[in-house]
Amino acid sequence: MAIYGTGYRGLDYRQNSMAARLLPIVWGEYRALFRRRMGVVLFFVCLGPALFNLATVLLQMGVLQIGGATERLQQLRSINPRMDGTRIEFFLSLLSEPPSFLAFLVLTAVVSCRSIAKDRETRALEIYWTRCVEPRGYFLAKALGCFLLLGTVTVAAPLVTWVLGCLLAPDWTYLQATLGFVPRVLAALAIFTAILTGIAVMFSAVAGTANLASILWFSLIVGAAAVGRVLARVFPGEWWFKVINPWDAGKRVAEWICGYTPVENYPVVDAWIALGVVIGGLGILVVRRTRRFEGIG
Amino acid sequence: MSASLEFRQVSKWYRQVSALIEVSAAIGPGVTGLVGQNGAGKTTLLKLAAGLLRPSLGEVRVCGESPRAPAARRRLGFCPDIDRFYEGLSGRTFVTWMLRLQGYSRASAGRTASAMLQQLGLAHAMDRKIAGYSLGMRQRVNLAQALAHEPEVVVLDEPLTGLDPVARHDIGELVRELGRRGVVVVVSSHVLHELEHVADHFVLMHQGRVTAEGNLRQLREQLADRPREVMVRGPDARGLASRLSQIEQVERIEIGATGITIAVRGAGVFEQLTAIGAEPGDLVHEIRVLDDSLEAVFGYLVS
Repeated sequence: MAIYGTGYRGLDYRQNSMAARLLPIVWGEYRALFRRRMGVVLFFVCLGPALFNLATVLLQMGVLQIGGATERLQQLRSINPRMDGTRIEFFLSLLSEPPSFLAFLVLTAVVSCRSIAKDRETRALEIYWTRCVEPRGYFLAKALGCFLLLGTVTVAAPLVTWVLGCLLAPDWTYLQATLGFVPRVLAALAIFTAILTGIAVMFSAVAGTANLASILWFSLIVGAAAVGRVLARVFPGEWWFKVINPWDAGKRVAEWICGYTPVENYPVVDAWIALGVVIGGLGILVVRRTRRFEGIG
Repeated sequence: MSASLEFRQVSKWYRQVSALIEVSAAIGPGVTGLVGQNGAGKTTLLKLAAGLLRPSLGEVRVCGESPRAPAARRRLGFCPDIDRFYEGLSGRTFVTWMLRLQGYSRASAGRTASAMLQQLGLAHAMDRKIAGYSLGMRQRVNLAQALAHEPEVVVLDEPLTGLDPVARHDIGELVRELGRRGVVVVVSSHVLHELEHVADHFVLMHQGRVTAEGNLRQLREQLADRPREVMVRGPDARGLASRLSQIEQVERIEIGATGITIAVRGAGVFEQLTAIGAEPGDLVHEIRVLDDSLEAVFGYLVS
């Protein structure tokens, strides 16, 4: 078998930039879910709440005509601002509604929690670390890939909904009514997604297996939320118990960025502190676990 | 500077366990076989060379650089003893991806990956998902990712394990060709008789130490205190045994079903055996040294 048939060429290629080298990791992570049929199904299931919002806007604009749905929506809009496409609550429903919460939780568990843990489990890190890739760059590329995928659901989908709403509206009233807050809402959703995805990827970097990372992630979000609620009842008036889980803390931060005042209007500083503690603690572990040396197996 | 891999007084501990103890070896162009039992420290040594572990003491140099330096990583190809890649990717996509991480542009990486996989006999399957590959095909993909960027130092951890004879032959040929091209190739393997055909230099390890180093002849010479075992076959076993017993250097004679095994020590024995073969009477049909194989030498060294 002849190898190097053209002769040994050595390093005749031009080394490209670190960003260009990391790009395949970003896209690889983004596309990982779509390589399996179940992944595609899961993605569209998780896109459900966003698609529901899109359908709501289309009904509101009269583009969709389904029986008496338009009239029913008109009634609901006056009772529930979450059903009104011109209200900030409508766009923030992606953070507050249980289906959105579940969709996000499942998607992060399947995508973000598996991202690095899977590489550790299959010992793919051994190959990465012999390449011209630094652990920090590798982590950021993985996190960015996950963020782009989750962002498709939490940021891109509301953006598409809003743009379609503006284009399909009979006049400029929809644009005028929403332009004041939608850019801030989208920024808030992006920051929220980045924070939550980052924490999930950190779990992935710390855990030995993908399943363990998913369990830790669920435990943190669901467990901390439950503990927080119990403590908040035991110690009424102590708001910080409500933000010991990153989901609620992230939601509070996102609401603050939008300038939205929630019913439970506790200080956003508490939310930042809670997120800082989680990210800081996990960050130290991530640095230790993703070192080039002894960071394997 | 010519390609090289150097270990200078390298020791490695995992907590209380010593995996390597003061290992020194200088490995130059050609194929070097790393031989040792399980737990001898072979994989630890290879991971140190690949920059995946840091020595507790001593230093490792890849072409004069620390394995951690980007310059060294560009010049090194590592083939780990695993075959679990990204199952959902095709062989071509995986190798292209690895090349892009190495610093190739998209177009260049695609071309190089295709060429490499073709050279490794995977032209027909490079666009199929790795999940559907046989063990031999996976090992070829593993090799392709290690070799595609044409490194000057190639570290192969158990590349022959679990392969069928055809794949072993092909990969053995490939490794030999690399050695002929002046690439520094280090191969660890349990399949000693096949490693013997692939490598021309050996590093024998036992319990974390290098017990011997050199080509097969040099290794055998390090065992000068041990008698050599020679098999002599002829039609008249008794007559042949009687004739062999007259040779002064013969220490022991055993007549077996397949021939006569003699233990000899000292110089000039083979000249005398050849002379017996040349004598009239057709006493000798075959003379074969039994313990010149890597397996035998290794067995002596660790016993």
